[in-house]
Amino acid sequence: MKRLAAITLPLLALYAAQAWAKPPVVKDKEIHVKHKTGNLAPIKAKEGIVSAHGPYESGDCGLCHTGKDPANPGPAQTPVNAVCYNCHEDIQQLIAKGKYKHKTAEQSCTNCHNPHNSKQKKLMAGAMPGICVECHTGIKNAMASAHKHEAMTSESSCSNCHSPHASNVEHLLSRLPFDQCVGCHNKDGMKDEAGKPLTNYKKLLDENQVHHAPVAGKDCSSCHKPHGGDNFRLLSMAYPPAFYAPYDAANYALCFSCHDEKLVSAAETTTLTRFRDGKTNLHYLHVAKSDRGRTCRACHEVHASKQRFQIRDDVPFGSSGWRLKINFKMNADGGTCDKTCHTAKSYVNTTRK
Amino acid sequence: MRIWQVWMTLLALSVAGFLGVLEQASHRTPVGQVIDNPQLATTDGGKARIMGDAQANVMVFFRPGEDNSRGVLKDLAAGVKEFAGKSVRFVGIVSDRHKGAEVQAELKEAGLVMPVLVDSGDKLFADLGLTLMPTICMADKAHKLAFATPFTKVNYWQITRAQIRYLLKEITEAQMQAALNPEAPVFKGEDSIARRHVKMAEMQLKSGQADKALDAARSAVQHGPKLAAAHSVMGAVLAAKGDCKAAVAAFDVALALDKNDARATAGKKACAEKR
Repeated sequence: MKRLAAITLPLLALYAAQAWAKPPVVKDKEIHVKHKTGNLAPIKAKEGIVSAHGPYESGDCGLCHTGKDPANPGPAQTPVNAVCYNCHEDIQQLIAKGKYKHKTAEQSCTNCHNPHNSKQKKLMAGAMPGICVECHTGIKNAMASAHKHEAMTSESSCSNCHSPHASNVEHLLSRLPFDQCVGCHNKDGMKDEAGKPLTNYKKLLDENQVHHAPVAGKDCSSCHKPHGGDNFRLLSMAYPPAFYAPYDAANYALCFSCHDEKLVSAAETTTLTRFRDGKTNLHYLHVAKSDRGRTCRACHEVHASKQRFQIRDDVPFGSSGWRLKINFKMNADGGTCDKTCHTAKSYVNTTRK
Repeated sequence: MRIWQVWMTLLALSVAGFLGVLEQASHRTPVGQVIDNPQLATTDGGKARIMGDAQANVMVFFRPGEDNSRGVLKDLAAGVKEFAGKSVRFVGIVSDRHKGAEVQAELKEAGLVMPVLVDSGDKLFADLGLTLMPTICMADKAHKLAFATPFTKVNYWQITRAQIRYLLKEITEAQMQAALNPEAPVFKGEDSIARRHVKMAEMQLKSGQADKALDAARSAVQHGPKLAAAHSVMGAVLAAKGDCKAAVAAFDVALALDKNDARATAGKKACAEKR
């Protein structure tokens, strides 16, 4: 009898352990295919539980499962989301009202959440950004780029900017890109990954009311890759980082994604720019040089300025941080730059209507 | 009026006049101004005006072969279908530097059917004071410029769609602005948490677990002290446990917060009938 018990009890224990480890059976196979992070079984206390679901903690298996017995709760009630929405009606409403919906969330809450407990906050089945980039592989690649965005890995990670259930902004952004970005980049003392100071954009934009069109359109992502990129300052395409550069259109890919390249490369024009003296294109004159071409930043602020056309007030001159005024003045038929990189020079736009 | 006041007024007027010159010099066509309606060649060999007599004249300035323009054309393909049969006229406008075949291929790839006009020497682009591509300009039936919106990578079609609907008078200006500046998804914080506990208490009560339901109801009240449903579910739980006196007190709080709370009204009545 003792022998029989010695054999039977371990087998019974093994069976029970296996049964416990098995996730509740969910009919929709696709859910498990999509749910790559792990199974839905509860984790053990020693693994470090950070969040736990009320019904599971109180032993109310029957609220979500077909059975009430914690040792054998049986399959989950289906469809899964309907079960969740019994209590989480705010999420149901959010998904219903959102113009853009996260298909994974619509499909099943358990694609991203463990309905029992979790080592993560909010019952997440895995840590962000890992759980997100399992599917969003393009973002994973962007994160591996040379330049990183701290927002990707700090605090709420992906949820810093995205509303993972649904949103009224494309790409499930919680708000328009500008509101997201300036929501963080609004203080002094922030530094980039190399320790260089980052601009307080709220202050900059408040003090400089002429905003570059993408800024005015609340679209930082027109020029920046928020997940990471190979260009400095997370720029989405090439942009010369220095004051002088030999002219090569490829180096201005970012600017030319919206501005016409002929704005710079055409020696003469009567339509492409108002910065011309008669037909002579003054952008061409300044920029399209094979040696020390002035880059866009030489005369323009990229985000905001006090003057129209994002003309800078001054430019850095020499290595000691001295600023040289541009002294640009616009008039009815053109403008003047005075006592700056050159002596006073005026241009007359004679083809103005 | 004293002399200095006259001088100040004259100075102010001259400054205002100068600013007016600057505005004119900028070449930017102000919204609300009637714009010219030239007849231009089309990429398929015909001729067309940039605007018709539609309520919404949508002029899409784009560059074939460029990613942002390509994305806009794809969005427009769906948009043109959405507004089919309505008083909306879509035209594309490209620089004469692009070949007709190149433009047509781009439209075909996007699945978009609309006339494309050729802006010879980029004159129209310059006259409208545009600097960026793509830009979507819109004018009303009277050909007054209503919008000139440069490309954004996010929500560009939503912006365009709202502007068209505004010109069609399908939505108000406030509704258009709401579409242009969409609200962030709002979690009602503690209120949301309280509602979850209310639901849990309801389910536990339904499954005959009054003690557990009481815990959930307490949590609901704790997270949502001003939520009528939290108090009424507390009342329901207490009534189920046979404590009608406490239940009625909870129902009264619920009704003070929301006089239409049906559970509190029914619960209070049931308790009264038991006495």
